[in-house]
Amino acid sequence: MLRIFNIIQKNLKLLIRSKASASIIILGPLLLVLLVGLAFSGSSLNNINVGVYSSSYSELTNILVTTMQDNQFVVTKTTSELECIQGVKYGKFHVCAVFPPDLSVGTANITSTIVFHVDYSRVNLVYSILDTISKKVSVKASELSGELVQVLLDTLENSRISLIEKKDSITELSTSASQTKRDADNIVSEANALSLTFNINQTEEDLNTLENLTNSTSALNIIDDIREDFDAFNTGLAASLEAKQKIKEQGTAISDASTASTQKLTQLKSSTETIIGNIESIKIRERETILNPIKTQITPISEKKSHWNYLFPTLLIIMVAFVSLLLATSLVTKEKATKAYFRNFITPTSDIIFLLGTYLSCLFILVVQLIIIFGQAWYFLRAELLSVLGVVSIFIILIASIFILIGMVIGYLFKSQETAVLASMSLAGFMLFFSNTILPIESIPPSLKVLASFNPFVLGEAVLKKLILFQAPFSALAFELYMLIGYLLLFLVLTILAKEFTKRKIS
Amino acid sequence: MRKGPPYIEFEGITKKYGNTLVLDNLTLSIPYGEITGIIGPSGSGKTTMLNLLIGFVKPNKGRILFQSRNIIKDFSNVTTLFGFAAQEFSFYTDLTIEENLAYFGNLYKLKKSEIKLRTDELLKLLEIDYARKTIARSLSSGMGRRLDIACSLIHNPKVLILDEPTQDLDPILRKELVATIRKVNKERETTVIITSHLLGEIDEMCDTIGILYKGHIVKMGTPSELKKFYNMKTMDEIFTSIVKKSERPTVHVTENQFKTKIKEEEKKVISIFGHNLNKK
Repeated sequence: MLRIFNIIQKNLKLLIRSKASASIIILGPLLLVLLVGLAFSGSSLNNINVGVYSSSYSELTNILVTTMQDNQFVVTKTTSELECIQGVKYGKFHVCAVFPPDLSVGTANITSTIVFHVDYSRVNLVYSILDTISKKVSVKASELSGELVQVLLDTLENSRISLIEKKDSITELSTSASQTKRDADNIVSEANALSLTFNINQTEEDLNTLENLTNSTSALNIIDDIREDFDAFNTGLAASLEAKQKIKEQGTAISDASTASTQKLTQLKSSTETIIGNIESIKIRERETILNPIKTQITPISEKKSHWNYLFPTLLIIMVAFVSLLLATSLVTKEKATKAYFRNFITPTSDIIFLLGTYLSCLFILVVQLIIIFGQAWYFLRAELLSVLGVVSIFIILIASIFILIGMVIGYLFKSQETAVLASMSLAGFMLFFSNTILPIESIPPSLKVLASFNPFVLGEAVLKKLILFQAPFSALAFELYMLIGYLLLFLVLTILAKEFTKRKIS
Repeated sequence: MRKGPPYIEFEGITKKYGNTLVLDNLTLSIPYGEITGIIGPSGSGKTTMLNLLIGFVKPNKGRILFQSRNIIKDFSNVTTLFGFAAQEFSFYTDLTIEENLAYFGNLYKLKKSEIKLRTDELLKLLEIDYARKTIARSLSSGMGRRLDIACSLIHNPKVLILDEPTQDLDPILRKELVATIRKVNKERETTVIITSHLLGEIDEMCDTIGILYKGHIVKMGTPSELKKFYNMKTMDEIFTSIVKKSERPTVHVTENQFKTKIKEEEKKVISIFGHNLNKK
């Protein structure tokens, strides 16, 4: 035990006295984490440059452009669509929004499609930008839609009220029409009852008889006068009969028209009632409900936090992987390069003690760094960390041990420090690329995805995410735990073999 | 001058690296308490012989006995009773003299108090006590060699093996080191095995000299015995005659020849720089 401590002490002294190594290996990752912590302590995007273009800026376009301009977005109007798109290509803009000319709502024959030109090569940014900018535009679009919907709703309500009001008038009209029909029928009936028959021939015969009976001139004159009066009466009677006939016809026509009107008014009333009923049957009259009949709500399974919170497990695994690999490789190659390396072999100290010494030296430095990082993380993740700190520590030590052993294997196998460090960097980069850090592993072909899922980096990241973000119980980590233990044993054996290989090389 | 029976014995040792035969049926006896020198041209197998002795490499054939016990079977003795200083310095240049000794002492399972005691003793013996807090990187070649020997002696070994310890040292430092080795041999009764191709100092320092050539010991004896046997005055002459006799194709460079060659090279360098400077 004392010898292990002695080796650790020596390794730390050597590392600290080599100022360049110390600053790169010890301070580098800490600085990185500190900067990342400061940079990603928020949850929004910053300084997103948006290029906009429209051949004719309408009031609505200007409103949308103004909506986009805030702390997050710097909006620049370009003189042409090409300039705007080129701006994205050359990195001047993160996104280019091309507005249709004279963009307005409700104007026929004018397209209202806003085209966003984005650079998909910036895969890690493009979705965030699109999401943010779409939200901004859709907020304004929703406002406009809301206004339009409100107009429709108001019109509909006014119509309903108006129809209800007019429904009584229709009823009155219908009643009037019925009354008119009845009156007309009465007129016809009374006209029919009106008798305008007069036997003029009998009267003529009577007057002729009377004329034959008298020779009195006066009487005859009177008879002539009577005859003239009868002619006049007869003429009047004929006119009355004609008028009666007309009254009957027109009364019938009025009656028929009133019947038709009554029927139509009944239909109109019915239709009005149906329309009113239909309008009243519309239950959803809230503007928001009509605008978004189906509401989606994204509820995070963990509490909404800053980028730092989500990044923390990944950051932790990156730091653990890179520091462990590089530190172990560096320590082993440095040790191999020292002239004292040979002397170690001829002491009565076994190889395992040296391996343990190197391993624990790396672990010690890593633990110191982790304490600092956890101190920083404490500010953001106090509650989450407190409950899982013990389990997280066990897993971090397990993960770190694997990477340290990998680093040691590389250190023992490669001749020069430069190539060994390069190999470590390459391996770390390889593991980083085949993980969820840059792109989700779901984006790689299934066969490679299976391989990537066994990547110690992926396993480590999964474990830390489950633990830190979701406080997963130990039982939920069984697969990762067994895999990591398997890796630990494998690389332990490989490290022993690699050290033996180095020994043979020296001899 | 032999002080006892064979302490270390090489019995028919053969060592090959691939197809290259380095040691060919080597047989050698090293007495207790003496300084035994092994001389031979570069590539004659001196270092391999020492590596075999410390158990760092294993022979293809034969055995090495230490106090009549096979060192391979009794390796723990080798590590605790042998001290070894390789051709190149074997200490951490970023540690101080004291830290190096403490580190290696610890690897030899010494207690803290023992380490302190032996460090003090050794630093006084090797006359580098004043620089005990100095980072090894800043030590001169001579001091570096002394530290290397100190590291080899920290566990108080019975046998000190030195592989070309005076290489790269100037004549004054070489003389000092030779005196130091003698001091260690005498004061601590440490058996010293030393290899070198600098024959003058071997002649001066060693009680017994073995001439290693083409993988085996050609002749072994005290310097006076060897001179008498070959009827020659110096070890240089003896060595040259052996090499010539066996018609060795490669040329062995003696210490004097080496010095002459160095002086010639130095002159060339000076003339080149002088010429350049004049031009400027």
